[in-house]
Amino acid sequence: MKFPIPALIVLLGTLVPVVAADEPKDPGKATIGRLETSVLLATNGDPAVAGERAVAADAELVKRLRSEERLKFSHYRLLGSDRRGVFRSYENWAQPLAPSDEVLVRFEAQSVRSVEGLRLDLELWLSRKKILKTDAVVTGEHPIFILGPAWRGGRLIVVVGLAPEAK
Amino acid sequence: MPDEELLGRWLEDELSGAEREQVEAWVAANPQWAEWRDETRAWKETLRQALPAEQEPPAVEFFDARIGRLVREDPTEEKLVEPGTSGTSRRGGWWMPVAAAAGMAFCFWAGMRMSPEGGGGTAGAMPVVYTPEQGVEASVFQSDGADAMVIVLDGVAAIPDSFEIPDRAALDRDEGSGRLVRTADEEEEPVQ
Repeated sequence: MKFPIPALIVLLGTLVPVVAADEPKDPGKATIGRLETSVLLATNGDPAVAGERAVAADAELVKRLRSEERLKFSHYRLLGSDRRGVFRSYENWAQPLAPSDEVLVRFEAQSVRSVEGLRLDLELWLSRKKILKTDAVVTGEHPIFILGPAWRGGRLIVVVGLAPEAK
Repeated sequence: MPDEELLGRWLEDELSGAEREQVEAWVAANPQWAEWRDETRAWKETLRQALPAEQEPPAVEFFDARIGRLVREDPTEEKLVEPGTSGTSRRGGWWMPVAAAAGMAFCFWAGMRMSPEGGGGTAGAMPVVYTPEQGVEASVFQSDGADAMVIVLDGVAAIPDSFEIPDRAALDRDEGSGRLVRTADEEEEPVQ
């Protein structure tokens, strides 16, 4: 006996919403922002030591870095960056030099996003060790610059800021 | 050998009877314990002499009586005045409500000045920074030039020069992500 096609469609139309409704939805995993984490090499020496995979940093970012005496170097190379969602209830990890875990940033929301920005519980991990913990407010316009460890004659700078919201 | 608890009580001279005999029999073969007990006794004696002897607090009536006497003997004490009958108090006057109102107004104004919403304070408080690794120090400051919060880490172990940037690090990005990357070389400028 053949199953009538219209009956099959009706049956599927009934079952699919029921199955979808049964999927657990965790409101804690709602994304309340996206965090952009970048790692740069800042050096007064030869920037070629960063390797061929590194690229020139954004001109606007370079201008801002040079505006601060402690962050002023001759050359800046972007080594890697990562963009991750900030969950409402859960921590998340940025891995800007993926798949390496040499530089990791752990973050967790402490507030919802407001005009002030997003207050985060932020940790910088280097070589699998927690080096820094802070509770900074980050925004897109006002990132956090972390002058970090030495590498190949220069210093690594970790830039943490909010990515622009998707349109 | 007696257990630690028993030895501890023996050092404190808290044992008696069979327990004490048992420990002292063992101590006879371990004379260093006798020396330690003598030291403990000497310390206790030193402390006893240094600290004041325990005193029972005087009765509450003593305090009440003393306060009452001081009040009676105080030549500056002013007499109670029936409301609206005679003069004003030396401790108060017509200006007190005015001063109180002015003080409240000042506190309100100062509070508004200090809070960010008041427009007179800083845009954001300095974050708390903590460096769990020994030898690592962090200084945090707001950079006007960079228009950003800056954290400078000192004493961090260098990343080994042998570390290579992974293939995917800077180049694999989501499309339309507003990336920081530029493919063309920037204009380099030497540091002065």
